[in-house]
Amino acid sequence: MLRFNNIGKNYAVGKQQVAVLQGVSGELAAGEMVALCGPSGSGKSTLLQILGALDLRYQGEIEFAAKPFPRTAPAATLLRRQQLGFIFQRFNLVPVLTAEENVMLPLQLRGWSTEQQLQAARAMLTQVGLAAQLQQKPAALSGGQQQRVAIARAMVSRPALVIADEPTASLDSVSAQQVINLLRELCHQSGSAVLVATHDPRMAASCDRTIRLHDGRILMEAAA
Amino acid sequence: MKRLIPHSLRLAWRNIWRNQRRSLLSLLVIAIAIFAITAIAGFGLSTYESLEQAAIRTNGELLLSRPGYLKEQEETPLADGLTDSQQLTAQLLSRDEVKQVEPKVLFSGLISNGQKSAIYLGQGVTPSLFDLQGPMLTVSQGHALLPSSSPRFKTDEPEIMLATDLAQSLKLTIGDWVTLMSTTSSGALNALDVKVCGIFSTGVPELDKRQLFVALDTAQSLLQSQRVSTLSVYLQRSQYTGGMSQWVHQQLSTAQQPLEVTPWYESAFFYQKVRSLYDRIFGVIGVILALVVFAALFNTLTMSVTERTTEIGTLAAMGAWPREIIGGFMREAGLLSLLGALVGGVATALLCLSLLQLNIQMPPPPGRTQGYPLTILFSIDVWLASSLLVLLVCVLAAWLAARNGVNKPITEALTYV
Repeated sequence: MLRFNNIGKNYAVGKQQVAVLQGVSGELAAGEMVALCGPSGSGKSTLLQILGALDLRYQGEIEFAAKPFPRTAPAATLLRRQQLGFIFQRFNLVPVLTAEENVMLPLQLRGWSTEQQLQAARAMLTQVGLAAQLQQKPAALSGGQQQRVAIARAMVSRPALVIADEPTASLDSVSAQQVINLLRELCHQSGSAVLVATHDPRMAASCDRTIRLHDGRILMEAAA
Repeated sequence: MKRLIPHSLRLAWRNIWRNQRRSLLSLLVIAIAIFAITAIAGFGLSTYESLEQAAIRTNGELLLSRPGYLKEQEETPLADGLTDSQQLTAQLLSRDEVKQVEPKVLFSGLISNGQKSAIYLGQGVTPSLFDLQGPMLTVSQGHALLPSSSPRFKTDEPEIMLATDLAQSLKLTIGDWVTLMSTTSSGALNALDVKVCGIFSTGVPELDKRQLFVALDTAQSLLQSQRVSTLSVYLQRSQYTGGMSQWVHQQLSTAQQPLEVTPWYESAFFYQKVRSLYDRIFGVIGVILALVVFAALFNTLTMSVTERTTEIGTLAAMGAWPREIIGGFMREAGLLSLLGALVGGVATALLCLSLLQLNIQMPPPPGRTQGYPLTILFSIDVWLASSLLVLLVCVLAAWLAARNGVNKPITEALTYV
């Protein structure tokens, strides 16, 4: 479903070019949950940004659903809108929207009718165990609940690929475990590929496969 | 109810109240700007209206004369007068739009009490003119000229009304006789004794030193002519001015007696000058206020955009187009400006009502002796126009502020703290 080959990325630090990613290759199948591990500065976030079509300046080739990955901003926006879902470390929910409205957002962007948005959002929030919190705003929810809303938001439109950046980093261990289980369950149910950057060994252990990065290169790749 | 308001507007409403203090401050700035524009413009409109009324009460909506009469000096009095004024009057009165037609004989000369003389500017008028003058003419002593139908009217006692300063300088009071001297239309000198029936004030010092009124036939008798200088045409509504002017040109102006038709606004020089001055002043004030609103809103919205950088990044990551994100901020600014416009409009309306109750007097303007009540006209048109201006300014400020936020790379926006 997603194939990336020989990905490289340099940053300019003063007059010097620093390589953050060098010759990184790999692939993700539909319904597969892959952990991206490695120490800080290893290039995890940069790879996530590239594979999430957020950063278009890189070397190498990416194929998504057997098509070349977009290289222009409008095409990348369209891809993210139609095919991708995102989960962030700090949840990034819109504070003025209720849990239900937050989950409706990606569906709204896809042009679903309000009725369809409502039905899908309620079903998704029920699935993540927040049926009683539909009308709560993020400030009224715990960290774990907020991340579950964020997961519901990312998965509600059944995207082909979900990019998750440290989804358990801001959570206590109980909430983190709930989020890990939920993500795994939804990934396998929906058939979405999930790429998770994580430091959390429990999260990595729950994934189907782990890609370990070090100094911008793949150090090892292992199945769970 | 919830379904009637689009989700985008409900979202904009909620975003506005994220930072209540800042939004209230922006709202206040917009409301003050709308209040200032509508109040100042309302004062201007009120002034224009009173000057328009003054001009119309003086000479009617249309002034008919021989071509060039208003610009050139006559060789002898009434040399350029209208000969068939009665026929013209009858033709004019046949039109439904015409309320009244007032002939006038304008003349000048010397007035004497037997011991002392003074220069005067006289008008021969029909007594019905004074019903149209309203507050433009204050009769302080005696009464206005009597119509011939009045039981008190005496044919052997032609009456005269004197302006207050003229009467004072000649030490004249009601019932005194004076002699009017003037050149006749054939160039000879003529004199006529008239009895003072009233003393009036126009509120203009220069006119109060020189002006007097006599009956039309008295003036014609003094000048020994049946002509009149002008015909003042009073219309049922001022809006008929253009149409009637055209009709007079087409139907009444002939080769034998060509007519010049002067609409009230062309002969009302004071009105024109004041309007020209006020329009410029109000224009500059409007631009300054628009800039103030722009600066305040741009600052507020820039802060709001900066605070919501991560949110903008999140929406962009989810695939929202830049125009959709910018549109959200523009809706917020638009909503804020509409609220401000509403508050400002209500404040102006309340001020207008308060002024009607309080009756605050303004000092006399330059060249006048009488003050006037301070009134502000609440104009829906001005309110709508200023609201639209402020709306555009706010939306522009939002567009500029949000554009900066949206142009930030998504990866930077997502990690913004």
